[in-house]
Amino acid sequence: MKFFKLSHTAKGKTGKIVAVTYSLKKSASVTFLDNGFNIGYTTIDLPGDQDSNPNNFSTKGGQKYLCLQEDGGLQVTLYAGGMAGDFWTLDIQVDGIPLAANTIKVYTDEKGNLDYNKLTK
Amino acid sequence: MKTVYLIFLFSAIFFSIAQAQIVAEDAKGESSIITKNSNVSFNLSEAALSASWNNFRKLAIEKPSQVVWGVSASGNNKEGLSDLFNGGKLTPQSKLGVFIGLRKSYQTTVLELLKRIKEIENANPDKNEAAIHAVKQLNKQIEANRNTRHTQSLTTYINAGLNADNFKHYKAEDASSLSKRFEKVNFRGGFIDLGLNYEYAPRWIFGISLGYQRYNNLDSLAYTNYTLKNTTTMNNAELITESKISAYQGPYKAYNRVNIKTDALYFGRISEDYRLVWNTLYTRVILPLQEKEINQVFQAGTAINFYKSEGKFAGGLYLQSNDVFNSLHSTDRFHERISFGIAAKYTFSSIMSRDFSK
Repeated sequence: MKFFKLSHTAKGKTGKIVAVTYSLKKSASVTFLDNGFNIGYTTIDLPGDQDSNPNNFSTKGGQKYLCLQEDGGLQVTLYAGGMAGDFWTLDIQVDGIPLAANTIKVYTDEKGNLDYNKLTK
Repeated sequence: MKTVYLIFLFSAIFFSIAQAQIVAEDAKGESSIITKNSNVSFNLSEAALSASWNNFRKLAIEKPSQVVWGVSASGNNKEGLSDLFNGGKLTPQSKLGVFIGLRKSYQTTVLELLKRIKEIENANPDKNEAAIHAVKQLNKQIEANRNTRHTQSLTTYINAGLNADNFKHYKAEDASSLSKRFEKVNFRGGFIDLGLNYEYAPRWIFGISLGYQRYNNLDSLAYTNYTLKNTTTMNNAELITESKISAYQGPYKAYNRVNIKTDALYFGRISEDYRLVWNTLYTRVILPLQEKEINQVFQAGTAINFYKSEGKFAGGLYLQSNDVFNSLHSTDRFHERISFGIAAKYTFSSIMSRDFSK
């Protein structure tokens, strides 16, 4: 469980704070950059969320992240590297409801990057 | 001996459910490139079995530098699978190794910027506009940086260990009886390799290693089946007993050598579901030290392997010349010095969940 002390002025100013859970899977050669996964301006603790399968990451049990949801959606940022054919997939739930954009899937580009930085609904 | 049978049985049981990983080895299951998954491999052509456990799990998260380490073990039957399943005598060979390495990332600027983003976010849990603006600016810098360079890393490692061969050697000389001509040889060798892996995503990983090894010439001895008959005569009657003995014959040598290995892996995407890893050209240079009776050998080959993107199957083919320059003078025909085979490799992690990082 992640706890945040929220400012009263924050809510509604640029969006609202929502509870986020996620499931992230990758192919074998993908490496996520340390601190490189953010949802709604909250850094996701990837080392802490790694499953027994080293290629899977997810929130566990009642764990959730409190993130800022803007009018245009959640700002999702993920930086990763990999080899040709590598990919990762991401499913996000906001307050328990899956995003319409699920499942997000990104393949390795010509630079060996699998980056994603978008407002996501 | 039962252990060897159990290992093969064990691998057969998990054949269908195990997951695959990148295959990068030569015909003997060796490589200068260390891959990212715990694995067990089963080479059908040489009846080799190997397993390794390591902390590559931590490489899922890239840091400026990371220590990687692990242990690996391999065993095989010298005479291959056919002898194993025909109930023949086994010639077990085994190798136990440990390695430690340092992986250096070339993403240090980006990693520093990401660390700064985390600090801003942690210091501003109310998600105020100033903090969000600062994070957006940093993300723009990160994108600009990543658009200009390829993902790269350099891993330096030391790999050391022991290897053993247990077999019978036929010696015609200096034996008081026929049965004593079969000498049991328990060879114990050792090796140390210093290696470099350079990863230039998304297409290439290059590997080179320099090693020193205590080895023997078992590969060049002839595997022979003998029948030993003993006759006992008593009161005009003869009792004949017969025993089968499998042994190696030829001059046996244990010696020191230097090994140089190079690999060049090419990664490709065939379709959404399938990809390939092609060890475009690998070389193995073997240089015996202080031993004129052992020849220098240059081996080279290529190996192509296909697997599903999510790693449920991997298999491939290798083509290798075991003696490119005919140093052993086995045959003048180049094509007769070429071997080929199939290889399949399956990760062990999903079955055993053994990982030293825990």
